[in-house]
Amino acid sequence: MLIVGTFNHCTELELALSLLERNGIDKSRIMVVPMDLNRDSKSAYSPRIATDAERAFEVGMAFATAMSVIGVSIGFGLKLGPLLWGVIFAFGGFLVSFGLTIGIKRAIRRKRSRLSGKTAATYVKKTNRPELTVLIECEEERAEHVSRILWEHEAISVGRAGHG
Amino acid sequence: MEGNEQARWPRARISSNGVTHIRWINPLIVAWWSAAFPGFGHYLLNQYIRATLLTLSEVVFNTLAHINEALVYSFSGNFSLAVGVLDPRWAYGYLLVYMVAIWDSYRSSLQNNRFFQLAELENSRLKPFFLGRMEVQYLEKKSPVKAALFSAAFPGMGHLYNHRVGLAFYAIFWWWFYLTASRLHTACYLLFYGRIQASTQILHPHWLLFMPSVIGGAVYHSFTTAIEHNRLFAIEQRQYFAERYGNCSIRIFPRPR
Repeated sequence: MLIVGTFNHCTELELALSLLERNGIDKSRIMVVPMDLNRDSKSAYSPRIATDAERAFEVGMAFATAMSVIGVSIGFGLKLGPLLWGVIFAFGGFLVSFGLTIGIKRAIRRKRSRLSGKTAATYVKKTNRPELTVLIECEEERAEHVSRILWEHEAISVGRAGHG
Repeated sequence: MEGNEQARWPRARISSNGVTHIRWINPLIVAWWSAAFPGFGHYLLNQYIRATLLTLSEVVFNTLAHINEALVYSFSGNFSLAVGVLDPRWAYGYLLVYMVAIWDSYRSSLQNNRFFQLAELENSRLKPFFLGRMEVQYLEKKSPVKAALFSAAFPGMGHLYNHRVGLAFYAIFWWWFYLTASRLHTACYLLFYGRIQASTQILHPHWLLFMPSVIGGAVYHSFTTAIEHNRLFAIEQRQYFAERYGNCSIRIFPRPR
């Protein structure tokens, strides 16, 4: 009997595997497959492949800070005062630069993918894709117990393949 | 840290003060945060001591030279007032330190990125847990959004969430200081009751002008640090699984005869 579970990296998964080993599943009957999340990357955790939203947040915070310093300064001479102008400039700066960065990133990616003939969807989003696949070989009567342990420790999905 | 002692380019080290790590970062982003507040670029590179000393120097010499007041006057078009308020005894020195801090953080980040590549290639074993006499520290899965929100609520709280103990309390102390010295909360209170003029008059521009950079820097630092911690956590777990379950004997299909 083969139990297959998909997971994201988390401490609970280690707890689940330790529990299974304690319950008599030998470690040679556990297989953990680290999954790549991007087709183009050698490592799934290359920091240069931040998501578009992460990059845009980086630029957005930089602009929000700069703009709110200017907004506060100008605001001392304006009717609404430095606090409101500081907040308006901060949010305005953030939204404009965040939107522009996302737009530019997408445009570049679309152009590149048109040139290379690939689909544009690569590394836009990493969420909800399981980072690990776990395979556990066990006797039929233990299958229920093993899958329950996986479900109780943050498994994204659990499946069974019965043979022998 | 048995693993790291043999490593020539370790990725990270856990101590009672938190996780100190080598990371890849865009040098322009580092230079920008140094410009926003001298020292913040160095914080992003995990150079905590020099960063802290630079932030102290920024507050002291900005105050002596009246840089923030001059900024307020310049941005609102009162250039003669700006010239008048600056104290030349301190302003030139301030400018030199300011520029060199930007340059130094930019240069450091280039070198840092090379070390990062070496560390990735060496792929030395990370250790996930530190048990000291006074502190417990570990790699764990973090939420970058939570880290950013905590820092936005009160700078330092995001660092506390990231277990960066020293910086967290340093930031909390300074935020309290800026809050009281600028009278920000009193001004907010007046603003809520529609007394805009009274609110503007009670504010202290010099101390208020530090605050956007501090809160922006704190939000960005804790956001990006949480992402890095997640990366380290995943790397360490992959290393561990490869060691423990690498010799797996599962055969999904029977061996061909």
